[in-house]
Amino acid sequence: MSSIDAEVRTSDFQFASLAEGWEFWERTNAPQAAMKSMFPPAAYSAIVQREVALMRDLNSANDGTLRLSWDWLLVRARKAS
Amino acid sequence: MWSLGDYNELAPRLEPCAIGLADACDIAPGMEVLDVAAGNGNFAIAAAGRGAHVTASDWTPRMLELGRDRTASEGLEIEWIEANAEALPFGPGRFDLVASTFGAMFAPRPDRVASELFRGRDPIAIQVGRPG
Repeated sequence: MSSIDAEVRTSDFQFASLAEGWEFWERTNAPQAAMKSMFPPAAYSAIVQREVALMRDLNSANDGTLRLSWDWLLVRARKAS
Repeated sequence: MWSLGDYNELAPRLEPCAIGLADACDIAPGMEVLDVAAGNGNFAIAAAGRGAHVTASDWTPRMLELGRDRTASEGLEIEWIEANAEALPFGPGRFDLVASTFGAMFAPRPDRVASELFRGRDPIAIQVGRPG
């Protein structure tokens, strides 16, 4: 019998500060690096301002640190033999 | 694009997800496991550490390089193969488990990737995706 199940799990990215979190993201994330290389500096700067604002809005910490929680799916499927 | 950034530094923050996936798969020694769009090997290494025979594939040569270096440094045997998740170069029924952690979901045609993951006769195919 074929079957599929999906389970929502939650993970956190935690950093000492918003600035540290942003620095990590910009340095390590491949799509972010691609945007930085593709956009003119002024356009990229505008995007960064919106991204940092989003990080600030999504921050669930209230002690000066940064904690971003994100949901993901664990999906398991089996095909009938 | 995926050769940009610093995936070796980002990957440890995603590794708990890969370990959680490996735990959920009940991987047993000797199982044949394929990690699709493996990055630098978070899931592949978790599976190999549980005794599986692991093949790891990725579309980006830089990821293969990182994965091979990491595999060697951890003393594990994992076969690394350059492959497009939409056209995997493996025959049907070769693997007991096909998995992907935050990898295959980035392919432009998810229906084609799903068909590839399920191409075997009776594999379990497991994928982790990030909603939204």
